[in-house]
Amino acid sequence: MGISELSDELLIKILSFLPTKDAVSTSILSKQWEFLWMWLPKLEYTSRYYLESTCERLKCFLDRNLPLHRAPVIESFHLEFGAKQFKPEDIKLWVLTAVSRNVRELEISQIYSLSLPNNIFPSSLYTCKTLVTLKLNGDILMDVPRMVCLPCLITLRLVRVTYLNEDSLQRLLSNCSVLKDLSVERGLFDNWRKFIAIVPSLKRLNFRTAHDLDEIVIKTPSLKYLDFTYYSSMIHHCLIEI
Amino acid sequence: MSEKKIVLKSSDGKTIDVAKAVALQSQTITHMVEDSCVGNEIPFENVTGQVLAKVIEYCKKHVVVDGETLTCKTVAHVIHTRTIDEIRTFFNVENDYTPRKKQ
Repeated sequence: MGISELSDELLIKILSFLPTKDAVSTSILSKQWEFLWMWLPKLEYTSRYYLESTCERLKCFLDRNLPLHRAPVIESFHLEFGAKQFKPEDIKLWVLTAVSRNVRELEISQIYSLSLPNNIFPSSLYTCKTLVTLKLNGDILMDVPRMVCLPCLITLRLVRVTYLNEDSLQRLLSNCSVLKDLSVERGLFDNWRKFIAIVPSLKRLNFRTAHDLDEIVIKTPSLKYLDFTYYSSMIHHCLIEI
Repeated sequence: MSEKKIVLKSSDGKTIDVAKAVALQSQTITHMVEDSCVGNEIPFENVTGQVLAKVIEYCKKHVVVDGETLTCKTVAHVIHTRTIDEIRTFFNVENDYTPRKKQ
């Protein structure tokens, strides 16, 4: 009894226990294995893509293969990279594909980069009905549209994210009706002066800033856990109701 | 496959038989098995029989080992630790891709 006698379903289950990179490489084992990895619901491209050359290869790979992915639901899409080798348009396209496949967890981390923030998200991300977890870390610019609605979002982490408009973050938070866990950490170069979080469902809040804000308003009547770090001596207005 | 059992002995002298796979759900027990295995019996000098029973109850609820999952994880481990050629050899997978002709 060889491995080739196993059902595709079982082979895919085996692949699900491998790092994505290993799973993808099995496609050259034989024709039977060629497309099996494309049924994997969780895709993680992390911690190796810090060199220009590897980023270039990953970009080509994702451009070609992500639209052809066969899993009807992409449960999680996790991208971590260190260089600024991906153009915003590249990432936008990959996120677009993930959103169109009912993505539940989206995590994008850009480490070791100090560049101007980039808008890497399609507008469809902001109305994604299936998104449960969104974790962002990097020089990311969020252009939150007027009609933002994330009805399933439970966990939101925003590290070093900047926003196109002053009220973007407030609007985003106000339209996450089941949000339970919010973590916000300001970067060194962001543009926002206010932090307004009016989130009735919120249970956990982590907030960290190393430079001052003009205004802080937090209205979170369900809050059970608060970690608030404000390394500055100046604040003009602060209202916290929990 | 016969199930390996180990015996946990509490501070007040009570012994509990438990399948090894179940007991190893607990990190603490795993370490103790590695450190101080007298035959098949593991002494817990600071834990009473009552507490130990609760711990084992918890472990039983959290055993993820169904045969299929265990097999899949094992095969995945083999794939993870070997080159493509080694995988082909190990699992007897025939490479049925036709080599590309050089143009």
